[in-house]
Amino acid sequence: MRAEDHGVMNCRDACDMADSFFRGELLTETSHEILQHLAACPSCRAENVARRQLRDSLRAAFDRTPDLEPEPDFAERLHRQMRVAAATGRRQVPVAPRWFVFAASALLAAGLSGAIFMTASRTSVDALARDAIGDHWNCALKNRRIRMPVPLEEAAQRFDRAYRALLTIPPGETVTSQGRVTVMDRHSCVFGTRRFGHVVLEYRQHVMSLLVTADDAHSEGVLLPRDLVPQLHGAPVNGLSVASIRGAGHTILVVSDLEGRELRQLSTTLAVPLVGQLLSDLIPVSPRAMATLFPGAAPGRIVADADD
Amino acid sequence: MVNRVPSGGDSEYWTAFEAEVLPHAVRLFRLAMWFERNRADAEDVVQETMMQALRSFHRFRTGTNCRAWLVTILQRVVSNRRRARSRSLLVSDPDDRLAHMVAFVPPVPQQLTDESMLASLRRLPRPFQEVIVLCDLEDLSYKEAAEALTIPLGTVMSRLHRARAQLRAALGTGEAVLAGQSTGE
Repeated sequence: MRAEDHGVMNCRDACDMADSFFRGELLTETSHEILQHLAACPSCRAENVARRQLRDSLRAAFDRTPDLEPEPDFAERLHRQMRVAAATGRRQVPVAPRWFVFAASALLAAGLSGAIFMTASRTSVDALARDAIGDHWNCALKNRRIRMPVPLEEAAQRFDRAYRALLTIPPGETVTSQGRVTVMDRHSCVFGTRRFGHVVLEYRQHVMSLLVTADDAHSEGVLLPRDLVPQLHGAPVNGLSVASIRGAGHTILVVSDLEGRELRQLSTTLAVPLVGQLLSDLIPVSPRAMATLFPGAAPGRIVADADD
Repeated sequence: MVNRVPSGGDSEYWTAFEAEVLPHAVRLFRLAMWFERNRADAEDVVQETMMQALRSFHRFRTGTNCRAWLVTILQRVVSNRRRARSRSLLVSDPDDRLAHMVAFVPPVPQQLTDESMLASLRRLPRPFQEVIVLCDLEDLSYKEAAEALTIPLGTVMSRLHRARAQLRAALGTGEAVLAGQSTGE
């Protein structure tokens, strides 16, 4: 007797209806037919066991992963919002503040009032962080830009040669102890009046932005960074945090919804080699010095080692 | 124009909604977060889902599958948002990019971690992810999934079959590996 002839039902039908059977959605007669088939067909039995085990494992993984957790107060905020909506009969302001392209400065000013990044610069780093968050939100998350992005090589020729460094740094994939950081896109784009070199990355299902912008002409640009530790900018705004490091007349900002410490660690991995590359494009340094100062940086301009 | 919801004096309406619907908020967030991959967007999706549910709660029959009903609404919200995004001039779908950028490396059959399982699910084409998530994770029936995705029931079954096959191939599992995992061997 062929496997597919067990009972009235064939293997294909039994397979197709197995899900519905296990949910108790079938008529009694059909359920009996499936049971009869499964009792007599070892391969269909095995297939159903494998299917259920895979489903159970997937479900457990999906339920357990912390990456899908809401913020602790989300349910309470939503409850409040819905209660007001039900009471007033009107559509309410969303739970998460809407991010408008040109109207977020007041919100950001409040959110960034605790900024800890201190330099003697006339251009407020708060403003930079604001623009970085805006660019991340509109460009990386929402693909909503006022102007088309510009390829990096073209942007390097037209606007700022520093953007050329972003063609290779960070590399396409960076392996960290917590997971891989993968480059999704590289280009130059604008938020408000500020142009950035922009690398969009993905890390454990989080979208991140690494942004490079030249220090303003009237500010005191930083050539050599005081240290190689990216600084966090105050409290998160709309769930987004910013870490930055300055050097070679530029500011490198990393924006994400990652928790502060993790963002800072990743910023060190991603931004420090970039600072090294920007510096070496400006100031000839030996490869040995480069490797010592900025681990992970590309060789940049090759000059004779002082010890040769 | 203001979107009116059944209001105000009807406290029974609110009490019933609060008891029946709101407890699903966190679960809906997990689902929204899976599709949107961004907390703020996921919160928006859940709030929009809840608002639509509040407006149409008078049509919901108590005792039927509330979660399936909410998931259907959520899926519609997610689809509408995706359609709006795809209409923008600057088209860039992170899911497509990721699907094409991540090279498939056949995994060595071994104890599967949560991360590897979800990463394999994430690498499936979006239509396949959707049916796996709705049917296997959210426990929707074929009919409920078909309504949520606005596709024929036969298409749900066909996609599910192919999605499961691809997922199992990607995980490199046979029954033995899964059986070992489930018994803790």
